[in-house]
Amino acid sequence: MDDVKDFDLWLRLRTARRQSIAYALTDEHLTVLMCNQAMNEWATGGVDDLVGQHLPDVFYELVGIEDFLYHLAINHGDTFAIPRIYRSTSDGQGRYFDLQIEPLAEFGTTLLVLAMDVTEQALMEQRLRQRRNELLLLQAQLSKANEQLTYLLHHFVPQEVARKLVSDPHLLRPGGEQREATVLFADARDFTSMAESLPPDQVLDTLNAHFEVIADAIRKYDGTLIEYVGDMVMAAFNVPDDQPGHALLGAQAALDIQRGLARFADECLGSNMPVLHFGVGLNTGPVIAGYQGTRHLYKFATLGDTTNVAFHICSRAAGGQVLISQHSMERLGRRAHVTPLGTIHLKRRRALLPIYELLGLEDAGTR
Amino acid sequence: MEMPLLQKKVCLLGDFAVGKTSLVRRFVYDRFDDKYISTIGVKVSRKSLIVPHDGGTVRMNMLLWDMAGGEDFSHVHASYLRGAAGAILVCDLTRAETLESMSRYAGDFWSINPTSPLVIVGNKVDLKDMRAITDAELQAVAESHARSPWFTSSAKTGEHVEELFQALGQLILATR
Repeated sequence: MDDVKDFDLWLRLRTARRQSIAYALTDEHLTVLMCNQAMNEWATGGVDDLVGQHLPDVFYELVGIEDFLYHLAINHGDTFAIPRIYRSTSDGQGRYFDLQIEPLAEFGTTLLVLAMDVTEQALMEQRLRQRRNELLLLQAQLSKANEQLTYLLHHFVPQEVARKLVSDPHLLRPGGEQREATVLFADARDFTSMAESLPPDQVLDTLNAHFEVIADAIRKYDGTLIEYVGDMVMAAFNVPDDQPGHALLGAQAALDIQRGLARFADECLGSNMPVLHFGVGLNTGPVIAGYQGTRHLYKFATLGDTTNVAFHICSRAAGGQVLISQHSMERLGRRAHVTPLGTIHLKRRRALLPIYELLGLEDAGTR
Repeated sequence: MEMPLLQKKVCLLGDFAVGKTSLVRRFVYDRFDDKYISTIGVKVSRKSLIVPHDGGTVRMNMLLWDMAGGEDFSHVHASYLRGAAGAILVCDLTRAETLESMSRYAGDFWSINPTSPLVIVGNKVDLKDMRAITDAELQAVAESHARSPWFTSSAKTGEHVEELFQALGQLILATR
């Protein structure tokens, strides 16, 4: 029987030797009883011969599990493995081995410790994992950059325009299309004198707080915020997408702007926030809607006489007033409660333009 | 009288590229390399430190297990974690998703070593402009994991690196 056991051990060790596998035999306290030369090479600490050594002293990977291995030896438990252990080499590439510890039940409480060189596989795994991880990091960076660009696009370009550009970037080229639109301007009254009496940051805070109210009203009726110019807001309806009833939507937004600003003025009472009053002007007619500029800088614009007239009407509106053109009034029809304010004369025009103060809308519904 | 010497196994856990290897390199060799090299398997490094304990000091050989990050937990990892006296859970302060993985690593670790302490670390604090995890978020994760201590660190500048390993050393001694 002992011969068979000896033969079994001899065979295991010979197989290990043939396959260049490092091996050691230890007792249950991990003291090395015998080993081959290859095992010495995996040890740390510069030991020439492991025999008589406490294995965790030269294989730091075994520190902390001495009790576990003791019980493995005396209870003849399952083989324990620690794969892909790294050892540095002078060329910097390093070597890897799998450590396997199994109890030799036939030999009492002896443990067979095997170290198998897996450098080739590990280096291949390392190359693959390196590429995978670099790609994942790149993907994350691109995703973050995309989020930032989307944020910028949606906050520096009208939202509807940004949405169209993201879905079809080929749209971004100079030129545009002629279509009917309702153009709205809201302009602060006595802003210049207020701006002169306040520090610059408070001027911007004040303006932005009022613009927030105006922009909310425009967005509420799906208007497109075209731009802020100084103390003025410009918006348009029926651009870039179709909006049936755009004159009505523009009129609702205009009235909502004045209601919102009145509420805001009440809220500002007793605070340090100066109150601004805005005149609002509205006109309906054909515009050129598209991208204006050069390859260095584009902006979305609604150009043409309709826009110019809307601007001039707005300039005639007093703070808290909404003025509309004849064209807008005709589109609104009987729903519009208006007061005719006579006509205005625009430069380089012969015809006089009738304007109306919009007081309210009937049966238009609110949002 | 000679100080008692202890050998303690400490695991570094966290997603890939959070800086586990860099933290070990800074702590053990006081070096840093910006180039990212993914870790395969495990590399064990040893560092001696003097840890205050019970009014005196203890010399501790910390055996630092720097292991591959971002893999699913399996029996392979269980063999890596066995016998650890403590762990450092590392996230990258510039990648919010790396904080979300902390609970999984803590669970994996405590399933093998239920009484061993943790230290929570947000690394790459030097990249201030790219920061995606706040101190409050890091603290909340630490609080929810047995009120573990937490640090923001930079393997690049060395900020808080020594301190976080010291903190774990003291916790290991306190929970012996």
